[in-house]
Amino acid sequence: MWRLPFLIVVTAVALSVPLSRYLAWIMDGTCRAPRVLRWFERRLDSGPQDWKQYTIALLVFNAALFVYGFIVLALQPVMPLNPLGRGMLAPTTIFHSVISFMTNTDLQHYAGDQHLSIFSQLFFVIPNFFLSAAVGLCALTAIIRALRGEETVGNFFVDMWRVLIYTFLPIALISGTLFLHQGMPMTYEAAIEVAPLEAGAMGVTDAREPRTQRIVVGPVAAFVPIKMLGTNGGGFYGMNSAHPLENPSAWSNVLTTLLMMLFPMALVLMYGRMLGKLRHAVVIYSVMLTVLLGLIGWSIYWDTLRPNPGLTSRAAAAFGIAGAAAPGGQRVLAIPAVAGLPVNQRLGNLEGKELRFGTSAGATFAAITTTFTCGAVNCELDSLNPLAALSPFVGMWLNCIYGGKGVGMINMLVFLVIGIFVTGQMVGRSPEYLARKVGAREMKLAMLALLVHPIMILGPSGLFAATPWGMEAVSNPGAHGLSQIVFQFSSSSANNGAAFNGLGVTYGFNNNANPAPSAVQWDIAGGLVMLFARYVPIVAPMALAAGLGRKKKSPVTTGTLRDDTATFGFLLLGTIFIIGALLFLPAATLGPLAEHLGPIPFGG
Amino acid sequence: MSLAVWLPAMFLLGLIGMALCLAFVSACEKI
Repeated sequence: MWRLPFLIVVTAVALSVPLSRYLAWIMDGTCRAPRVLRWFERRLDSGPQDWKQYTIALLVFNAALFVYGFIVLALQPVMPLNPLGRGMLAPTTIFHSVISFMTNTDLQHYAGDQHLSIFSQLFFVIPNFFLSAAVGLCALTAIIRALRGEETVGNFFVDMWRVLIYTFLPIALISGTLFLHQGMPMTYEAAIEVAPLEAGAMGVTDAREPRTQRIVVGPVAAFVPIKMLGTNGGGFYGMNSAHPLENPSAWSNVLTTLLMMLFPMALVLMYGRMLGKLRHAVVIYSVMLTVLLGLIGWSIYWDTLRPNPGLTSRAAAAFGIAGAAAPGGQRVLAIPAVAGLPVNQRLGNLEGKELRFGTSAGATFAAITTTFTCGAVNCELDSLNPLAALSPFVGMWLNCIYGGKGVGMINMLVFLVIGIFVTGQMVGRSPEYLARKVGAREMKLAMLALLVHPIMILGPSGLFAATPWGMEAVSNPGAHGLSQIVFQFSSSSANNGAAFNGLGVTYGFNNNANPAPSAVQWDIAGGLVMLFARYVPIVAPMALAAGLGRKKKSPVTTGTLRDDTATFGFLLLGTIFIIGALLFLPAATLGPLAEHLGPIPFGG
Repeated sequence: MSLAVWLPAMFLLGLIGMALCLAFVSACEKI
């Protein structure tokens, strides 16, 4: 049970060290690429850019991605490689999906195998997987250069080239080959027809012949490596990494988990290497690792080591809850008689788990995928025990425990600046980070970057929870329903993409006569949340780093707060937890905690 | 839903969102 998470974390830590050295070598421009690749690099190099030019290039590039993605999805019905005749998605779903993939969120209000053609998977999803992932890494690199005090922060297009060609592409190729070996499909065929083991299991035709089963296939082995490596997380199949063709074996599950951890972990050390402050980075890395281990342990303890409270904790009974439409204003919910069944709960909560990966694989994956803002899932997050579900929530709310590639470390920079400022105020010294004074401007920018995340989660969650938009969409009443709503916006704002499921948000094809009642509202609100929660926390820290880097370095004295000690680590840990609790404890109390303590497991 | 209305509306909404992000760059510079 504990061996799997131990193996995964130790391997990821071990691999992140050499990868960080490689990344620093690539992004510092000291590596000498083959002549052909250098030729391309020179064509892309439009000259050195200051922070503002770099940020504008980044945003314009993303706007171009939006236009491109919108056109590809809007033209899906008339494009080639569409043998299953997939139609056009609803325009609001196109809007949501394009922003979702452009912002590295990859939250899907559709099922990939049901709604996208092979063409859309190849020319919309996979390019976005590569490009959106590279954007975060480039932003972090520019911030590091700005913090070093450089007037120009590099060239966005050259950085994109280096990330894509020298890092993502080779690692994706190698891991794709390993996935092929594990049985992942790689074909331009869209589907295969098979006879089910039990004749007639799929029904019978008019001629009373047993129907065959259609299994959707496609270029899955090209899709999954960068889906995980780029902490993208959007699934080729609706079931994501729980599907046997998207995650065929226990080994492919270990590899997918490792791939999503590699870059975010290595980037923290790259930050230290490029700044020439590796010990400082090791302290940050240790803080992140401590929280990560805590979240994995919490998730396993409350899910794999605890039975499903919906089955065991209470005897069969009926509960009355307020319901305006019910007779007498009371709606009676019967807890099914399954509570009396002799269900073996020795292996913990097994609902929604893929046991072929191992008993703790679902809980481990849930904690990691939300901490690393990947969003792929190999179990049903909606079925986690209520307290275990806190782990994915906390990972997304803090959004700085490794986080996505580049953006996780950028979010941590915001916490660093705030922590140092608060400490400086407490001891009566001018706060300094990297020997430069943190002033009012830096604090304003840090607060902007910090607060956009809770505003984007709590504002829309409150709105949807108080209106039929949310109430019509949830599949469970009470605290669990609120958790579903808060999770959706947490996942969108953290650019995570994990889905709690159970929430009716799918419109589907535009000609769908029976879409989810509030799908349009969910599409639009989710799209806007992802957009602003992606770019505001990139732009503000870029401006912060540029301003900080321009300041004169202060001399180090005995009163200087050292940033490479265990004390500093505890300071950072405390800052993260206090700010996180202040922002999100009420939401946690009304959602998972209330559900755990309440009378109706899983909302009835 | 009507494609003639919703398709351009959603396209414009995305572009307006990106334009606001671009405006935010200038706003950050002025802080």
